[in-house]
Amino acid sequence: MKKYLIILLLISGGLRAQQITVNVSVAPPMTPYLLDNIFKTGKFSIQIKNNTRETIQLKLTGSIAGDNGLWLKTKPNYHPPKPIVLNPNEIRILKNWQELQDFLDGNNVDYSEIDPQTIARNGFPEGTYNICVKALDYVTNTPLSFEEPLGCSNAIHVRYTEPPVILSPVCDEEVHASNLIFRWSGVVGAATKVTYSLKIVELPFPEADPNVFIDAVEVPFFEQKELNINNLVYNASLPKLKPGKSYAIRIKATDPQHKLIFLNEGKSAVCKFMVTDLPHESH
Amino acid sequence: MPFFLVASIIIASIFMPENLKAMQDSVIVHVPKDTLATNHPDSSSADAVRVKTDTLAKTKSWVIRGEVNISTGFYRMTGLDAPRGQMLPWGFTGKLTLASKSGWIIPVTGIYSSQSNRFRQPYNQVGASPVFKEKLILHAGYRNVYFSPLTLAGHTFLGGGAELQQKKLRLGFVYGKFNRAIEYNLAQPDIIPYFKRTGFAARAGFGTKVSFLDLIVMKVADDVNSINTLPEEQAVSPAENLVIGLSSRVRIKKKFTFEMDGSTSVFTRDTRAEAISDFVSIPYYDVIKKVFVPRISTQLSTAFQTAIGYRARHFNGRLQYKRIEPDFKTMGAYYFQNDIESYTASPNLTLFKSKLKLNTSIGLQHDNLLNQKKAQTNRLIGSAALVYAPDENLSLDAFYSNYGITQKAGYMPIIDTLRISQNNRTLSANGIYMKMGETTVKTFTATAIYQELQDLNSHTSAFNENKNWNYSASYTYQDLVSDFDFSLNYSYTLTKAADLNSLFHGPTLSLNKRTLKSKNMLLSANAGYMFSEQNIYEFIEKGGVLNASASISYTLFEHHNLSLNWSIIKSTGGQAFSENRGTVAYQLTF
Repeated sequence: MKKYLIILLLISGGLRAQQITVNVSVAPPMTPYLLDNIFKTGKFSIQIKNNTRETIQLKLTGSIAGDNGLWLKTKPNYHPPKPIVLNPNEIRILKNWQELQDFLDGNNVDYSEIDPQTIARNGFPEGTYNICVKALDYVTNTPLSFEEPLGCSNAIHVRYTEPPVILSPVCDEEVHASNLIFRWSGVVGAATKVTYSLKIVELPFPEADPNVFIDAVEVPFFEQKELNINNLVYNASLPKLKPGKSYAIRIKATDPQHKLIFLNEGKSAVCKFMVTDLPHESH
Repeated sequence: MPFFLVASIIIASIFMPENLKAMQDSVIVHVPKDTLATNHPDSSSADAVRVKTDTLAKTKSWVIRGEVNISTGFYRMTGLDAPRGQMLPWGFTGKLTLASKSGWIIPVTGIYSSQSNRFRQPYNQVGASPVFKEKLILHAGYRNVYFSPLTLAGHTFLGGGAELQQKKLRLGFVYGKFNRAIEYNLAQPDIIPYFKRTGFAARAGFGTKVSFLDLIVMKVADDVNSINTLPEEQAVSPAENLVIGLSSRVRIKKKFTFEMDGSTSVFTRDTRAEAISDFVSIPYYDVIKKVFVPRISTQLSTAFQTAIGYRARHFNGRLQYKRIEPDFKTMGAYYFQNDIESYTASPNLTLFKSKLKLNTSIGLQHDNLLNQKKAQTNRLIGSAALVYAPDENLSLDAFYSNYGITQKAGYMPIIDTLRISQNNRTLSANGIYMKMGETTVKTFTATAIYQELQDLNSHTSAFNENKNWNYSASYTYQDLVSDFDFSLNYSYTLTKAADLNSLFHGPTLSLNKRTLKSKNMLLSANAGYMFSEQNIYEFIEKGGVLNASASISYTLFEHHNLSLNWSIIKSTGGQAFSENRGTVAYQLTF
């Protein structure tokens, strides 16, 4: 570690580079939306500390870089209208973008391949990102803080992990209770093992919207958690579904290791199915 | 309170059955609205109104039809966890339809349950959508209104609105509360907090009910001040949504149909986030911000779908195209699949005087529309169903479906060990044979279903692959004279997956008998025993599951029905438990 630090010191221009210490952090919980994580006031904070006994006028520059090759970084000629002034030994925590100035503004950054307008519209592509911030002398552009990886945030994972899709029964389908197999597509894009829970709620009347009642009901008709495979044969050992009744069904994917963040909290779209007396092919 | 109104109708009808006959034919309701609808302001004196309503009564101006149901029950479980027993919440549902000679049809629905509580979105709902001569629809109360699938598409709201179809003019407007505020509760962290969400949707269009072009605008937003400040770790944030959509349907000579829906949704996940104009330049921002302020957490996404259909005597078919951008959502619809572009063709054939039917469907789908994902997932979805019914006694059908998934590189090169390549297949066959006697009906049915998940990636197949075999055969005997029927069924289910083999098989017997003089009592019993054998991680568990139920249903004066139902599931073996459920239900129809 010491060697590493020494090399860093040499690269970054000797002793001047430790005049300012920069710490960057992003507060949990993470959402799949990197922009929300970074740019929302309170989520992202930069702590800057003046390690000298002199007042320092500085500006901040930064970068966002992902393991997918995408990067954005402050233009070399960036010059904010006024400096951040740090008194001797002062520690300041910058939490909102008025204080942080505009070093990651769309107009003030160079970028790899996706322009900031597209990112603002579509979000960041999947990947693992780091945000790094550096302090420079306001007038001379001399680095005042260490180079990367110091001054960098914790890794931020952007994954768009979609919830399961119910394959059978098809929404609004009539089914016969003795031939019923619930099937859903496994979660795509999950490197870890995902478990599923299946919830069935009896609807108060056939036309009822299943979305309204799936969460409004205190005691579900049937619920099975921690399913390891993406189907469930609803055989005669389970509570008997009543002919003539309609039910709402939803599958929820969960990561037992709590690493994955799912879109829609891992919940599939809610479907309704009707139970009939007559045998019917189960799709 | 409509609930008490309905409750009083029930009570009155229980104790005064002689009144019920009158209700059966028609119930005369002196509704002032109808009197006012005659539009004679001069005749508004008390006498005039009385004369008017009496006249209406004689001509049966208002007819009421409907049903109400009340149920409660208990649930008790011993075994798996600590024993627990509880009364099931009691629930009430009611549906009334009032129809007037003047052209009003007023369907009213009401649901009430003791399980509703303030920590969830409402279970208890009362609402009505009166229709006047198929031209005007009014909405009041809890409603699910549908303007188009990509704008206001049935999300429940509490509010009001109106829809008008006047010649070729189509108008619609609703305003209401889409979510009620639910506070964060430190003592119950599982409760999801909600902001109060209100908004409107408006529709203006041209055309008839079956052929039209509509423009729809919807704006709904959360009220940031409707709940107390949330703790930092809560991911819930006040959101805002503006949707502009087009919807069209065209029908030509009952043969051709055309559908088109398009929508642009501007969705702000957090209205407290900084305005995006602080970071990037936006053209026409001065105009845009008056309608909607784009923020860092704002996403703009589009969705489009179109379909053409053709229907003839022997053939009908449909071609559909759909493109829904990643995370497309509107506050007017519940969650649906997004980041999807799909093409679907569904040709169906009907041959030999409807004795043979072939229904098929094939679809291609892919995601990663905006190249944000590491890998693109492609899906090939196909199905075919063949139904052969040579006469009214025999019906045979076969069904096949496949849901295939493959992946290719998206934003990053794909790693082979993680590449998904799967087929999820179902194959089923079903046969019904019915033998009609003079007073008896005998029915034989047999079903076989095979289902498998095939994983073509050798690195993951051992964990993911699974197979199911499900067979069942049953015999039903109905005696139409003595109103008795019974059925015997045997089913067999085998599941094989990584580290899991499970087998369930066993018989089920059901009996139904109508009794008493006017056959107004129905006795039903059902008992089944499933032998089970489970092999989990080489541990073998043998056991059985008893699943039995019994019910009595008694109908009084044709309108009142009381039913008692009891069921038990008793499982022996590794995970022994027993579960008892009982319900009592009363139904009134009129």
